[in-house]
Amino acid sequence: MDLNELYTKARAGDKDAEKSLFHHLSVRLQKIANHKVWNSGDAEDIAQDALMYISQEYRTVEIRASFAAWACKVLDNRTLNYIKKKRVRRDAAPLLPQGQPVGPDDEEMALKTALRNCLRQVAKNTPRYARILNLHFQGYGTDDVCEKLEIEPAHAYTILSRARSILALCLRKGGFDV
Amino acid sequence: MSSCRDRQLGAMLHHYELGLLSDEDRLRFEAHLLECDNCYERLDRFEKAARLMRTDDSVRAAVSDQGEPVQSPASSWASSRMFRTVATLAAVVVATLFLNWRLEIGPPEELKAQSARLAVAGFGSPSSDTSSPALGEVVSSLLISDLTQVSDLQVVSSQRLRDLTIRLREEEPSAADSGVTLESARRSGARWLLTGGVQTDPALLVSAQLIDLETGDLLGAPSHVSDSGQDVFDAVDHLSREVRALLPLVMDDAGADRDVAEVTTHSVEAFRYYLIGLNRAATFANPEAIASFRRALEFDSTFAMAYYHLSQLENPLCIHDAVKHSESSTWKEQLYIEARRRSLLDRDSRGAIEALREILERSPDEKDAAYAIGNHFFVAGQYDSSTVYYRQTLALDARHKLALNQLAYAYSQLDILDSAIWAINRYVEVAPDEPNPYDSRGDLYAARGMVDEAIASFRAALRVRPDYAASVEKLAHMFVFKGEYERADSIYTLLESWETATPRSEGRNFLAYAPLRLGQTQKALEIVSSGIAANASEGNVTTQENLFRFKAMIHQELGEYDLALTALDMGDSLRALNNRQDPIGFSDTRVQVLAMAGRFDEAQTVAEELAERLRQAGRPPSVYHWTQMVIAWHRGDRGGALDWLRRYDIEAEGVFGFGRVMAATEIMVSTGMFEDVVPVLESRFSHVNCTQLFYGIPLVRGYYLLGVAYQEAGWHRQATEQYRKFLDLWQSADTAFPEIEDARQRLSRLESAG
Repeated sequence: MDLNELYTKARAGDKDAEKSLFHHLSVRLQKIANHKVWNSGDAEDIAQDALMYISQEYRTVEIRASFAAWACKVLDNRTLNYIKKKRVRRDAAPLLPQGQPVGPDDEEMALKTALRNCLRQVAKNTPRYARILNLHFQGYGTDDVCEKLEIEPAHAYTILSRARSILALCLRKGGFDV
Repeated sequence: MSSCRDRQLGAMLHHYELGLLSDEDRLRFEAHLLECDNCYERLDRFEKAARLMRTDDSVRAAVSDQGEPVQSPASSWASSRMFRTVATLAAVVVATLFLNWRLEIGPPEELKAQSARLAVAGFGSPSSDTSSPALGEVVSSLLISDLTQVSDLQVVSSQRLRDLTIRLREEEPSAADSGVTLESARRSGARWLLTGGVQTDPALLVSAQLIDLETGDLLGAPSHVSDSGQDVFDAVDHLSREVRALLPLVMDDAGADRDVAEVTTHSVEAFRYYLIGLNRAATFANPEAIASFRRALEFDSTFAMAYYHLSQLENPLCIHDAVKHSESSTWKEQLYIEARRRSLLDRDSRGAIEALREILERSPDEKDAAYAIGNHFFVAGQYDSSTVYYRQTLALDARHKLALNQLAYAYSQLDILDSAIWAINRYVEVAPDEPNPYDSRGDLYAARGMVDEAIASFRAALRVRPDYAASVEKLAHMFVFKGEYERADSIYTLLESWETATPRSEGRNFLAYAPLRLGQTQKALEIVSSGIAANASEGNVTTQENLFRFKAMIHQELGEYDLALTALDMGDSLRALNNRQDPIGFSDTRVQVLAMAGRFDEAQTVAEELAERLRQAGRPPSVYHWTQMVIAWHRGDRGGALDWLRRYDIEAEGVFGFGRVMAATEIMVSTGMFEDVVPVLESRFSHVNCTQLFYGIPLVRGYYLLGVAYQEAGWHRQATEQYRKFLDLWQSADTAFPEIEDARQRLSRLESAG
């Protein structure tokens, strides 16, 4: 989907293009927001906030680079605002009512088990993947990791990308001998 | 699956999933994600696993078994800012509760095969005719208009046939066109079907076939070739006479001998644009419909029905021209025009209904007439009767969106929630890509105080159209009722900079709702004053009068009666400018303020003027009785106030009478009518809407009043709840309302008593 094209048409008054644009955005922005806040209800709020703003501003604001980049920036700002407010509220009162545990369900347990098994296998066969992940888990940023491993960032991306493909395949198949 | 649009960016997917990208790279990748289906789908599939890899120690440990030991990821953004999953809101799918319940809608009895009922199918056009509408449609529409004039003959409207055809196509998508046409005609209850075609080369030739639907016999095949100098109107006149001669009816009808041009228009172009306007209006493309009707009038400035439709879509005053030229229209159209004239100019709803009923008697499949009658009853508050006509409309057209919408509201008014939800969910099915059905559903839930369900519905509307202002503001109002003031404010702030004037003006008013609800009157005053100034600087007067009224009410609560009256004066002058027709206007508030200020003679004068306006508008005098109650009360005439209270029809007050109801309940509580006031207030508080927020102070005071009523009636637990709710809301009120201290003392006594 070429958002710039849709955006240009919508801006010119093409109602169908506008409809397609916002339908597409509503799904994707919510997914991205959910990736940030891990709460589907809040993600929906944030995405809707962003969409309302975008729907009002897109006709008049001057977008030089890409519409997608601008829309993501709008979402990002709203997410930051949301997180700030949530932090204030969380300081005032716990997010969870006391004495109400939230634990994993059976599906999640099964996924965890499968994931652990697959990760072990993939990590065993692609040690650089394991190393990069471990360094990240310890709090090292990408630049630091690359410096330690003496690789370029693009190379680090590629290593993780390939390992991910194998990991995803392993999960789909329920494990395999790698 | 499609391939990635940018492999370089696509390689960052796993880093993104694990939260390992810098902010700059993250934004770049997210922009890529918006456009790349491949990465989006892969992200979606791996989402749960990625989350576990970010957050679960045991999963991370699986990697560390192979590599360097994993320390506590305290420095990681993801874990230090990890939000626990809160209990998800239960998604109440109300419709599933009603899966087994069906509203019986079937065709009215009148639509059994009529002895003299003719269906006219669309006429074929020459293949070279690329105009819209094509000549065939023009001919068939003119034939319908002409044959409608025959008083012993019922002609099925083209709209009716279209609706039946749509339904048939849904049932049998692969059926042949000719079969669908025949079956549609049969289902319409017609006995005969007229169909045909038009050719223009070398001359205008209109040929037709008249079929007896009961026997399948061809009754005749009239045709007409136009001479030079003859036009399509002449062809239709000729064909119409031949068709009438073929029909086995005794017709001695002078009206039927009028030329078709005398009952429509003399201009083919005008008629074309008229048909285009009708098509556009049917799809709610109103600006385009208006343009088409206006264009029709450029070709024929005496086209009555073009004016009629403009009176509905653009300017009610166009009805004058429709009436002026109504002689040049069919009997049916004359009745439509007359109905609208009675409604608009005479304010005679009953007369309008009579005219529309006459249409239905003579032409039972006129869904527009049925729907219009339903609306008249609805506006008059006769919801039972309105449902009958909305259902009749739906029997003729099961996908009639407006009828479904209105039926839902009518059932809601009748407190039949399951039927209301059925109707609105049916509307959602018919129009899933439109925001209005979801918005209406949100209204229905809010009317039942089901705030979370209302929020879900308004959100659904905004998913369809994020800039649907009606749902945007209602969503914010729901957040106010939930006490989520920041969320509400962020939406109101957005409305403040809306593209169109009305949401901007309203947003400026709405921003004062939360402070007012919390008793912060000065803050509310500042906000609304600044809103008034902002509107004025823009020249935005669309709803400015409401801001003045809102301001007046706050001054009234603070005892600043002169300031209140000044604000009402400003509001009234704007009402006049905006040509508001409502006979009540701000008179009730004005009477109340004057009475509170001790200016009883002036209050009475305003009340008498209001009484006269109500009488002229044919409205009951209940609001006038309310003004008398208020004046008597503030004079200290308790007995007189109670007399008028008994005459004031509090039950008949709709949403917009909320302020008056609250004033009446204050008097009821003050005079010890505790058991009477409980059902009144419980009923009002059982639903939530914007108007209540407008009356912020009386609304919250109402919780206190209900608490007092409960307490005095012996319902202490309920009283405690109301006092707590009231005190919680006004804990930081900036005015020492006497109710606050009284509520504290009452609550304290109740709690001590255990």
